[in-house]
Amino acid sequence: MKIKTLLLTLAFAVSSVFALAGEGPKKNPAAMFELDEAAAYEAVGELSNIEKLAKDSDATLSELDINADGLVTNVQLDSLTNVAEAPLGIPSIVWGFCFGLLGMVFVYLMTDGDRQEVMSSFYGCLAAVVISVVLQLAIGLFPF
Amino acid sequence: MRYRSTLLMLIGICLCTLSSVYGQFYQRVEADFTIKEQLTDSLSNLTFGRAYYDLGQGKLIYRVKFPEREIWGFQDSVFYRKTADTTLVSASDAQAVRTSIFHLVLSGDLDNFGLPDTIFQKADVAREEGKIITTFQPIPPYDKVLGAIYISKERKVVTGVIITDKEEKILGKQFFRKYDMTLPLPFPQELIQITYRKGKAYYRITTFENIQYNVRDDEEWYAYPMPTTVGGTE
Repeated sequence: MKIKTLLLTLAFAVSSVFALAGEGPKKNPAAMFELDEAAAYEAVGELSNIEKLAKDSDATLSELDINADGLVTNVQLDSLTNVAEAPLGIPSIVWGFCFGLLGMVFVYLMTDGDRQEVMSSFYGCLAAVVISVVLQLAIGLFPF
Repeated sequence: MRYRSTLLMLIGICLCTLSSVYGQFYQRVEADFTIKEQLTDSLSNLTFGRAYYDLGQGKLIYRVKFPEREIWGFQDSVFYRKTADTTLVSASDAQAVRTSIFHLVLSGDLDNFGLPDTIFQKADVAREEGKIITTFQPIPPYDKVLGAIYISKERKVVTGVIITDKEEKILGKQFFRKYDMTLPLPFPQELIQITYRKGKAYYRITTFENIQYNVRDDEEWYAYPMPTTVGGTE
């Protein structure tokens, strides 16, 4: 009887060990360690130009005048290669002309403070003010 | 005369032994680092500079050169950040230093990613496709919320770490590549980290160059004064 109990206990213990061994990872661990190297390099590849530029000139981001907050977007990378883009495709001077100060603020925000674009919107705003003043003077002097 | 010769010989042997022992003990490591990171689909980050780590002090100093010249310091649970205009001292995860590549290499914990003596315990070791893969499982009650961590080794160095959730869904991967085996302690010159958010992979590649151990000339950085208490901005 004792031997039977012992054998049953042993059988239970062995089956438990095998059952636990079968609780391994559901996926093939070696396959999980595969790396898509090309995808990794491609994902950050656009930063290599800035890296080279900064290291060669020992300059910080603000000195390079890319972006003040340390983050670089695709659009801003484009601007590095002189592919500047107007806000929503509408020239900044038109934003200033049509929307005045509000247009200038919009251009400032959309271009991350691009001095050239903001000045362009300022000239648009100035032109709108001058035309408005001239028209009001003309209407005042020569009422219909 | 005879005693003097014996004494000199003994002193010589002691000095040789001491210098040999000291030469094999690496307390400090420094390296140029470059981090390129994909934050979102349209946003990326580039940071580079030089890092200094002292194992005895448990202090990690980053002398950041880009995007701006700053100093970041980590020690215990304190994070220190000094820019041109401001100084910030805040609380940090103490694990930030212990899981840094610098600490893992110097302490010899890179082999097991520092997992022993934590809430993880070794559960399995298997050899697959030339890799030795060790599985670490969280101990109860942490196994209710955490999943396994897999570590792969090839040619006696760690090449990858995979972190999973409790459903064995992969949360992140780290690949330690391009080891410089000519160094006294092999150091990976490239670290690729992948995190998964909403099913999409985001990459971070860190490269290390000019890796040096036990440099005596950069005391200024190893002895950089770190605040011991948290709080305060100047």
